[in-house]
Amino acid sequence: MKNYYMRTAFILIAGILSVSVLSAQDIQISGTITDESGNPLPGASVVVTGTTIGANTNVDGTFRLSVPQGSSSLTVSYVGYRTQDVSVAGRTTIDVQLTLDVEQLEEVVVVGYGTQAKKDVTGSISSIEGPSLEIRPITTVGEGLQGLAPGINFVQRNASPGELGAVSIRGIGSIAAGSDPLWVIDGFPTDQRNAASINPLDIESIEILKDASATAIYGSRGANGVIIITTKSAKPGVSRITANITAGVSTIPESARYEVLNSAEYVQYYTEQNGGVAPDWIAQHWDGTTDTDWQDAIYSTASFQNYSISASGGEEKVSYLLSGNYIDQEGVVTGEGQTKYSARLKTEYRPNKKITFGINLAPNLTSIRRSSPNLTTDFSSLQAQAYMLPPILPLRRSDGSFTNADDLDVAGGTNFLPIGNPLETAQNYSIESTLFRFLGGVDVTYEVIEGLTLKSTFSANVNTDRNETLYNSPGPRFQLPNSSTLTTTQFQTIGWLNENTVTYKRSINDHAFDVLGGFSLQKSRLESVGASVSGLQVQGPTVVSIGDSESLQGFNDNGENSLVSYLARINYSYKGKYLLTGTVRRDGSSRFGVNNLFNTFGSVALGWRLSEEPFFQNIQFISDAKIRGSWGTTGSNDITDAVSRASYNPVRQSFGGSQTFGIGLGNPGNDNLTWETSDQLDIGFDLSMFEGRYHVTFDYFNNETTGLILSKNLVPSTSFGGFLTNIGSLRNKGIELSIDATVVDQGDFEVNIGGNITTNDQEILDLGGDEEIFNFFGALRRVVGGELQQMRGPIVIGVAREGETHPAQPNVNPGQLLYEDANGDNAISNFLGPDGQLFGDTNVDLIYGISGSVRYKNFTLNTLLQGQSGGHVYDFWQIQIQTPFRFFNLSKEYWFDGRYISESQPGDGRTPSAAGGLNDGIYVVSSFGDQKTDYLRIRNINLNYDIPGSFTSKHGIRDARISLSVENVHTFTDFVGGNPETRRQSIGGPSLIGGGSQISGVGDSRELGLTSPASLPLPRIWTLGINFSF
Amino acid sequence: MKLFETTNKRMVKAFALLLLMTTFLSCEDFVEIEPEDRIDATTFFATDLEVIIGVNGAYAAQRGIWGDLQSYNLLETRSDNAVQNTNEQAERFETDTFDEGAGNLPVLVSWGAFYEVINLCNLVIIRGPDATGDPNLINRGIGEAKFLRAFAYFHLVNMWGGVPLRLQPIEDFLDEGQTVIARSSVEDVYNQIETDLADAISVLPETYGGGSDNEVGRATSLAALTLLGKVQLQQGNLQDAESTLRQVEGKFNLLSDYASIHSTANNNSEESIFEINFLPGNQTAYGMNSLFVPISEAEKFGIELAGGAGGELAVRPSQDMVNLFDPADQRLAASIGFVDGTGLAYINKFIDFEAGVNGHDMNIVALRYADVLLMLAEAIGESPEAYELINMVRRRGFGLDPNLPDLAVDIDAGTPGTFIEKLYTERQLEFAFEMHRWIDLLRLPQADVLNIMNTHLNNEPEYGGDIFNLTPDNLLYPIPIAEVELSGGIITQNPGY
Repeated sequence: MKNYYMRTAFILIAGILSVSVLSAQDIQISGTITDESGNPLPGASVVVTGTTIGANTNVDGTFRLSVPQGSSSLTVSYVGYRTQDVSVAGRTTIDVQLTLDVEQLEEVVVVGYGTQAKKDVTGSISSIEGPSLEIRPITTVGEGLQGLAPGINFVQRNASPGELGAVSIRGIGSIAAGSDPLWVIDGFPTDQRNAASINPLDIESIEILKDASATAIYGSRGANGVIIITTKSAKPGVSRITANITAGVSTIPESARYEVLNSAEYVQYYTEQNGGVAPDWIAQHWDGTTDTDWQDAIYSTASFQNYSISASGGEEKVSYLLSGNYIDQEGVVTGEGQTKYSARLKTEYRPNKKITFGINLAPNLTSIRRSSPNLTTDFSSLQAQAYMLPPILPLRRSDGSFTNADDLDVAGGTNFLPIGNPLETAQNYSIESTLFRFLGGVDVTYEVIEGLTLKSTFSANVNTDRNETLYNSPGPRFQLPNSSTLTTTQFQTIGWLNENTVTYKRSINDHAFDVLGGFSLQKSRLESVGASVSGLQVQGPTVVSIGDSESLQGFNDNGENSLVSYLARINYSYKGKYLLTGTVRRDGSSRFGVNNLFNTFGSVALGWRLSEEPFFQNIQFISDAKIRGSWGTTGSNDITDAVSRASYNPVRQSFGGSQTFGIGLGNPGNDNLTWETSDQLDIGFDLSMFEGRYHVTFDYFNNETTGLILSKNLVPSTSFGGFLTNIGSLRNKGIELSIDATVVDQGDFEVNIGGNITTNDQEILDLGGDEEIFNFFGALRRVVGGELQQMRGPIVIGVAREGETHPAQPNVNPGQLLYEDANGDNAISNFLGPDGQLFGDTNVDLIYGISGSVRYKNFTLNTLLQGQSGGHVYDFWQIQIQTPFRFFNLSKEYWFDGRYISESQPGDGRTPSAAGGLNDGIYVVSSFGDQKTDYLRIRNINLNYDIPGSFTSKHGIRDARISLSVENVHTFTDFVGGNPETRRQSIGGPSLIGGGSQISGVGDSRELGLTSPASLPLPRIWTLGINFSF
Repeated sequence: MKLFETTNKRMVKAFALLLLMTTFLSCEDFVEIEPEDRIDATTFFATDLEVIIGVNGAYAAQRGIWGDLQSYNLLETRSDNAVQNTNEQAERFETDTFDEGAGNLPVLVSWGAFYEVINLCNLVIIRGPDATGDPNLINRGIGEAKFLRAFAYFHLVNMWGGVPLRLQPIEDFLDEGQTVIARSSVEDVYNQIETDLADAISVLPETYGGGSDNEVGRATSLAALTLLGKVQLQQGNLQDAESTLRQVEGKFNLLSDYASIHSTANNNSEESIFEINFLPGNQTAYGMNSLFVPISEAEKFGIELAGGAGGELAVRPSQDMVNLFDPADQRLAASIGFVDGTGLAYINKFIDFEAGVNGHDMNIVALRYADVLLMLAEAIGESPEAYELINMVRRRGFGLDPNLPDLAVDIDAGTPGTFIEKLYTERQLEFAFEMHRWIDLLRLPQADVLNIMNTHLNNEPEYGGDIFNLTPDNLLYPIPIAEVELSGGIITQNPGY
């Protein structure tokens, strides 16, 4: 404080002195500084050239300055504009019109630790502009990425509000470690959970870094690609308040619903199955008229509201941006929804031209509600119950109470699985997740001499997740707790980051350098605590003390990880046409074995801007052409903390009726455990034609991950199944192509179309000596030479007909499924036996996006389509759960349409008869569960009207826009089920609620290759939005 | 304007300082983070208390053997006492009918469970001596570990023959010389067992006083002597067995009521020499009720079956076992129940009528005084003293005073059958379903064992009249296939598999 006063006093005295000294002999100069179109520029700097005497323009763009006699010129500068020296020449009024700095106008992309002119980039980077997400009803950034750029695949696995998706860049490059890309938010390396908390309207741009040249600067975290999110900053001199109000509704339209049988079809099917006689449960329990649409019962029209406001402004020295956002989204499924509050404060203080202080604070609070367990159990989600329950069962009994599957039980006969009524489940079950996210930091930048800049940042990240699950059990319900239960957990992550970089930019004649060096420290601490209890004595309170004390369980978990890094990069260009980028990063990570804490990663890339060559000048239609090539090595440290450390587990032991504790053999540890490394090759070109109206970008990539962290098997007598070590390798290769074209550009009428396509061909090269790894009991396998995940089982070859003989299935009845006798032993084995064959892989081979926009005068129509092809899924929902042998309702398309009924109605030759659908012991794990997941989705259509300036200016509004948007318009697919994209997550996966994966706790986009049970279709969301600023 | 110049200079200083800081910061320290939520294996076993915690873990691992159906299959249903329900998992039935292959799951699970105890004991035995603190406590902990290790190897050597003798914890998992251990001879395994037991006998107390670190239920020197006697007997070393068991004679008493041996009220009773301790909650409960008790009977008794309803009656008494009991023998009702109406026989020895969903705390009595008496009789050989020892056990079984001769119940040289036949029948009745029978049978000449088992297998209705003809190879289990295949040829398979 003392210092502050002294400094203030010093300033005052110095000021008075200088004023008094100067006033004797100074001349007064005043004037106005304007931009190219004559608008005043407030906050522009006017300085007597070569001195520190100066002033800033006020809000009218005017300045007044006392200059010493003999001063020859003034230097006028303003961020984003070319600095001008103006001769005084005795004038006392000097008006200056600044022109935009073309260099700065050049298209710039954000790269790791800086920005770069797009023309100089040698790596593979896709940029997505923030505004392309603004109009859509998107609550988390990930949802917006699908289809917009090549190389990135975002899969919305669960359509419930607030769920995270699975993100991968250029395929899945790991088997047991994490495969999520690194998310970097305003310089802070973090994960999708933090990215999801950002208000999409705050986003300026998203950069997707795909090859080693782009990602090597992130070293040990670059192997899965990097997504850089840059939030908006204030534009100095531009004071603006922007408000955005979007409201709408979401529904699951009839066309998107999962089609099941109605009562007539249901009765017909099971009557056929029962040899033409209605089975007891129908005869005894169906009143002949009840035809319940269970999906109708749980789906409703849900509201969507999004209110955002931001204010930004500033002058030469201080600029600020403040934004606030409130989103309330109901789920289309009863009892689901999310409410999200976020805010951001971003300011910059530039005391002089050399120093910039910045502060960026972004807290977010999200509350997510669920009314049934989250995809982890097969029968207990509301939609699973709605899909399963027969239509002959009414919603409620005559006394008003809820029915459930037990109501169909028959004495001494068919007993149904006790599947609950979804409305009853919703009434009794709740998960409330309250997620707090904070990301913020301060930074200081100092330009020592021109071109040499030092930057230091200190940022922090706080995440708190509180989950509370309460279930008031109405009685035994399948896969739901038998007793009322309460579980409450809290997870907290606190992390900090310190980064110090130095950059030097210099051009000497034909040589241009841009050198970066840096040092970084990052640490984060995880703590969790929770308790659960069952046998709740009263309903309502959510404290564990109301439960049965014998069932009370508590648990907690602590951990810490850290990363220390040295990084350096050089960008060099010769004559602006030969480009070189070299990057190196040395990382030390606490996650690895003590013998292998440090590793070095790096890349080199070359670029050649052909269009700058003399011989190219004749090719008029090409305005820019660049060939790029990069090669490098990056790593992945996405494994659980302390997995390399040998440890014992605490276990309980009792002696003589009291308990004590002991140790159990825990983790064998591995002092040599180290990074999975990815050797990445990328060759590509960028082409810009017809004065930039057509852009083509092409990339070929070949990424080979080596040192896959897998478990090396040990003999059982060691008491360890295996220990984690670096064995095995995996390759992803493919091409990316994106094209953007301005097809028509005639003033009032403009048409743009764009498209992108990515292929991925995956191959497991080595599994550390093993031929294959079993997943899901061996129904799914990772096989050397194959793609990541292959499905195995007997292959269905058709449906048996009358009079046929089948040596392998001598007792087969007409209408039953026939299987290929692969080994010719005249018998059909199950999926583990010799007739089990690999029949497909779950890897999606091709993803694509198509976008188009048409503008006529103030109207703009935008559309986005995206899709995938080449992937399969092992649909255990159809072959094991919602199957004819359980007597519940069925998929109309999978089991009913095209079924074999008789020799005269043989059906489509692939669907068994109703009786043939009884479990034959084989089809429950067979190619009968193979479904293609190809789809094409009209992801979004929106229509915008920009209110003419002539109208807005009269009302003090700078600009205004009205938008009508439809999200998830329609999905074209042959997939039978709710959503072709949903997959059962590998043990946990990146869900906002819960977590986990193969090595527990890592970010994980992999999937088991199985459908998620009873997936929910993506809801269609209609919104109307108004956006205006003044 | 001067302010900025000073600020600029400060900035340079500040950045220079930052640079200095980062240069001198030890990056190794920054990234060496020890786990907090687990026990660091590299520093544990530093104190006497940690040695005790270590051996507690070995005790806890015993639940994986004695509280688990897989080992029960190998030790009890393998014998002529009990049969595995044919409707149950095929692999369990295979172990019952001598049909298992090297890939059999119960064989793997049981093998692994024994070695888990051994691996935990090895940690205590090797690392314990370097711990600081009360040397008596440390030595006692190591002695307990040696007892538990000997107990595990005793079963391993009987079930699989000469097994790999693991006596050291693995320090380097990349070193196959440590991870793969070749099989030792049967003799070497027994020598190791006897060495461990001799060490245990010399340091363990006869009893425990109770209280923290001194709980009743830990291995005593008398338990070690009892086991040593059993080990010597198993090798046919009758003289040593007799002198060893004499040291236990008179140290315990038979409970007057046979049925009360297996009851939660009599855990660690005066007849008990060594028990596997259980307690409900926190995964330390005994949970095999549902494998033995039919659901209808559980409902009748009003007990809840741990693991929930739906467990099928996995293991039942063999028909031969049911027929073996004298109707006046109270051990019948204490061992076998019959379902109302159907008359289906089931094992009722381990039912705790207070059991809840969390399981119950009835201990498994692994060594008890009746065993000492019968082993001593076997070691002494046919003699009036041996018959008196047998009769003590027998009288109690019939509800009589063990020390008062009873002509109606007592047996002697004149009773039909050989001494060994009579003794083994008595053992079978006394220890029905207590996981002794298969090990007992292995003491008999091979031809006798094969004869007994073939007779049982061919008589038992559960096996559906298949004809069995076992060979000596059937008397050892296969080494689990993973152990053989992952050993790179170092571990050999038992003959016949």
